[in-house]
Amino acid sequence: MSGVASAEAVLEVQGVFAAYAAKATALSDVSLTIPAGGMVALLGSNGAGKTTLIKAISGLLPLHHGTLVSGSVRIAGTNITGLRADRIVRLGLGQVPEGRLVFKHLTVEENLQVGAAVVPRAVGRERIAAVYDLFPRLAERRRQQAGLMSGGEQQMLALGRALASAPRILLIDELSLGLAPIIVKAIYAQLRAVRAAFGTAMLVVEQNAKLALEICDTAYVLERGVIVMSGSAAEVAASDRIRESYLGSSGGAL
Amino acid sequence: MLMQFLASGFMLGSVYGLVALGFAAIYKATRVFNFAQGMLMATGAYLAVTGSVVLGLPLVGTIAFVVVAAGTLGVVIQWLLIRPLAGRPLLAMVMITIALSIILRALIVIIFGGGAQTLRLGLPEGSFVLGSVRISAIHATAAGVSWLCMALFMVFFRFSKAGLLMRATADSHEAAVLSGVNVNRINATAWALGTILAAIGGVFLGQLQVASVELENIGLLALPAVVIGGLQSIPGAIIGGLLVGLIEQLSSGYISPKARDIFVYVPLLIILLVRPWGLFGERELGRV
Repeated sequence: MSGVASAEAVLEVQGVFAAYAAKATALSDVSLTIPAGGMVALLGSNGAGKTTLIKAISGLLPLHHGTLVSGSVRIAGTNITGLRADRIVRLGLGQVPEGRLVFKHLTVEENLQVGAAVVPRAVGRERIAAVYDLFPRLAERRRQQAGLMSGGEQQMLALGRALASAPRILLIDELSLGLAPIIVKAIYAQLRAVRAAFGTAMLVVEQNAKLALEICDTAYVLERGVIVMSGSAAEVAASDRIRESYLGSSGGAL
Repeated sequence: MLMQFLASGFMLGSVYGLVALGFAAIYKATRVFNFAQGMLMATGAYLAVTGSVVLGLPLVGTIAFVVVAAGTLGVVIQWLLIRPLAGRPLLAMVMITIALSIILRALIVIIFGGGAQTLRLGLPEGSFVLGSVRISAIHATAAGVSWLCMALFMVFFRFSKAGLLMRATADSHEAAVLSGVNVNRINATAWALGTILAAIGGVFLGQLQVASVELENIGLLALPAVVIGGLQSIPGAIIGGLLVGLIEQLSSGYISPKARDIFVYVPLLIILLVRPWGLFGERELGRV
């Protein structure tokens, strides 16, 4: 099974243990696989280890005084375990971080240019044009300072900046945080358009399980640093555990 | 007299602006408050002595030597001292730059001796009269070259890809890393540029006075210049440098040369008390 999966997997996390200096193990034997073009949800409550897993994949754990103790992370077959975060981005990992983290003092256009700086100029130009097609709002504001835009627009920009680097896979961390539901829906709808246009795979980390399960093909559930469930989005949504813990009573409406 | 003081203040202030710009470039990209900037400036003067006197290079060769050597020094400083301490508290960084400044001073004294060295680069000498003001050719050249370097830096910072990545890193270190920016390389570039700008300022001040480790005190005027202009503002650093030059000439002209420091550092204190982000800086939008 693993041989076939490796050949096709765009992201493969295998047996990852991670820890922070002061605390006990934050991730324990976590494995997950994202096939080319796949959209995978990572669910879990606050403190379950979702953000730690994201940082373990993106190479940012050391910056937050954490360590990847053992296990491996591969992008399209290339072992990226222990590489510097900026090198991992160059290998095809696009990041839409929690809290958006746009460059506040740069214009929309400049933010996208920074994203496109890791790919050849022609590819970057094409990508930026495609981002403007997906998010006409950004095209309207291309000369505006990013810090002066609304939260929803900044989230579009963070997504656009990651797309401008022509990634094989996007890590999307808590996109809905602090945004109005209607805006979140609109941005999520664009994620599907992104996949259709570029075939980009995505790992979607969400506290709002209902939303994530609606748009993703498969889902993993993380609790206290351990993957406790995985399967197709429909299976996960139908399980009692998920309905009770994450979807609330309205979960039945899925 | 007033016009004379204003003119010489403007010309000296242009050189201060250049050194302050170097300081601001380093601070903006790497958040290191570089107390060694004054000594880096003095080092520039001694690099010019090395190029012209020791190596016997012509003017153009000496300038090229200063630029390459200063740029290399900046990269080495970033690589050996600043990079390993990334993420440490501000105090550690400040202590590093103070130690660096003391070490550079000691090295210069060991190599060149404690006395001052005359620096003659063959720049145009003499003076000319413009209206009611007498202007020395060396001062005019210093101001002209300073403005040229500042303009080149602004073009680089605004319009080049490396300049864009430098502004992005200054804006958010983490977002830059997440966008694939090699932050170490950007920081090294900032240190190289900051050191080159300081060194060019040192070449001119060494020429206007003498090459001596005491030039450090003049170079350190870059600190009030950037604090007055606004630590986060590149144009603010240049304007701060000009203001310091004008204040210096006016206070030494009308009161006493000793009065300079009071009139430069009192505004620094006032700015820190009432407008800590400087005349042209922006109030922080939030914690970085």
